[in-house]
Amino acid sequence: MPFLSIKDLTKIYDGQRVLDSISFDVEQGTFLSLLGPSGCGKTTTLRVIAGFVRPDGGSVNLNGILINNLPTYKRNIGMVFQSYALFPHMTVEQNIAYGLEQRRLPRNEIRKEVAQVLEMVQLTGYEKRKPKQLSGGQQQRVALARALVIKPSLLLLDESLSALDKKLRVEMQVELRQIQQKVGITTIFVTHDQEEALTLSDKIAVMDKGRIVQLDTPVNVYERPATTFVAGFLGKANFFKGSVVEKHGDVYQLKMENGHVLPFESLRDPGVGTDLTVAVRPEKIALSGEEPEGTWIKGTVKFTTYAGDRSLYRLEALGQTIEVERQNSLGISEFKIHDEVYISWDKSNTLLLDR
Amino acid sequence: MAKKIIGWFYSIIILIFFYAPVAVLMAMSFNKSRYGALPFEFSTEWYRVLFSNQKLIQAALDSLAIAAVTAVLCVVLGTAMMLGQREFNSRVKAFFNSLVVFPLVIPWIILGLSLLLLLRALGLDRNYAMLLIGHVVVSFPYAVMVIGARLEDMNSEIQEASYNLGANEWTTFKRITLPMLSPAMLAGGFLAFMISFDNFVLSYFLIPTGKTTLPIEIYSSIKFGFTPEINAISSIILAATLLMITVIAVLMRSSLMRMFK
Repeated sequence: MPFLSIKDLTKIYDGQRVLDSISFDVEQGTFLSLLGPSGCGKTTTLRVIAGFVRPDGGSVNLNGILINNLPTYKRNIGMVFQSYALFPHMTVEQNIAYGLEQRRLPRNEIRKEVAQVLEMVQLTGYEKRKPKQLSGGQQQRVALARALVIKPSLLLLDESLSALDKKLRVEMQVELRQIQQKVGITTIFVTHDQEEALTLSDKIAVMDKGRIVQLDTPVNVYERPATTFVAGFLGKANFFKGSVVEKHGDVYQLKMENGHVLPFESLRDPGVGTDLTVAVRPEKIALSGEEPEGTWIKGTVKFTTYAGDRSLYRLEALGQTIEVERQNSLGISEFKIHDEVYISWDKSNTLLLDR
Repeated sequence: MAKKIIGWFYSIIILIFFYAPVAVLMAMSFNKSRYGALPFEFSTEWYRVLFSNQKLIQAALDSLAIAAVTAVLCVVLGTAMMLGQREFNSRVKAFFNSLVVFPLVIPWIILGLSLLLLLRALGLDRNYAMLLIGHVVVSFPYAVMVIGARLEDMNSEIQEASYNLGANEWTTFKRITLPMLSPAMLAGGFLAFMISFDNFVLSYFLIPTGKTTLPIEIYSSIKFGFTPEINAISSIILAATLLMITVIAVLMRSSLMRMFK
């Protein structure tokens, strides 16, 4: 029996299906990210679990108990809000103690718990400060401490890192993950930042238009995206849309809508006659000045950028733009604008996707 | 440079225009002459006369009481309404808000008249209940605007955080919403108090026979010849108002600072 089980969750706002029959399970201790563009329903899903939004259909089971109709304050679910939602008229100490007071813990126990959790988030000494006297990162930690101190059965994070600047965000990501693993709490994290989802999660659920498009490990979601949407939303990809017209040996020919033909190899047999999208990630593509072995296409360099650890190329080939990324650990590349280059990739990196 | 001088000159003229009459009134309350004659001769004579004028004192006390009840009613009703309408969607909310502030543009004289006609239709005499209703109607928009503005700034995630931590609606209201809203409630209440205290028209229509309020009393006493006691009581009211504004400003500032600094 999964720890959190969501079935056929549906929510309709003004005739629009914000959640379109969503189902997924989360095992205990898992860090699951709900990832998707704004308006995909990820925040609504989180708010249904928290109890702020009443679903129009479906069920939420937590630890074997149906919690749909339980008011928020009886659910024992911790949440870190996007705005942190710290109580501005209370000190750090009072903010964290609030949840424990609701649970009628004795004073001295509350004091002990607060001290403990403050130590965990490295804010010992800040007890008497007001939220506004703290930096963004510190407020974030207070919010996390306040959510964890009640020993919730589930932790919800709503875009909780998005208000921080890049450097601090990366630090907090590491810290958040460490704390989560130490406490061993099942966590659902809503984000639109694919990098954040990839670094933090055990599992990622990619959402689009009120549905879960793919739920899998970060590696699988990235390396084996289920749809063109997933491939395009998580990382970058070059797409070739068309239909497979013939096969010579191991090489398929994809007749594209613009009339060009892409030769490609694949581990999976797409079958001659199918309409599909062939995709390949920019960093999986090899460039060379001479004709390589196997299958290749020829292109012209249109644009190059040096980005420190890697170089980015924009090429023109087969009547479309192709993006290529090269790690500079292989040496800074020699290709210039207007150079003719050969593009190839290993067949294990060919992604066959829906149209 | 010339622009700057003209700007200063203009501002000073405006300030004189606003405040000179009030300053003169306050000064004359300490002038010995009954007719405000100069040279100025300091005396507290008129304050002594004022405190022996039972009718004026009673009128002032009644006005204070009416204003206080009005303010409390406005704050309680206004807070409840603004909290309640957060649940509505934005179209209903906008409709509601325009209804509530509508009394601002209804002439008071028409409002007073309509309430008086209502009394007649009900076959009732003029009474304090109707007077209070009138005062609440005209003061309510001010209180609601101040409280609503504060509530607008308040992120609803704050309440959600409280529920999330295990507090029910009542605890959340008592420990989170109310403390965060209290400076605005105080300010809104003060505004409502001043609007009511100062209101002549509605009181004039609705006051029970034989009773009076300070504005009515002042108005009727100047009809029968002006006495500097009026200056004295006006000065007291002005001084009290300034004191209250200062206290509230300090209170609000420190409580707002505590929250936001």
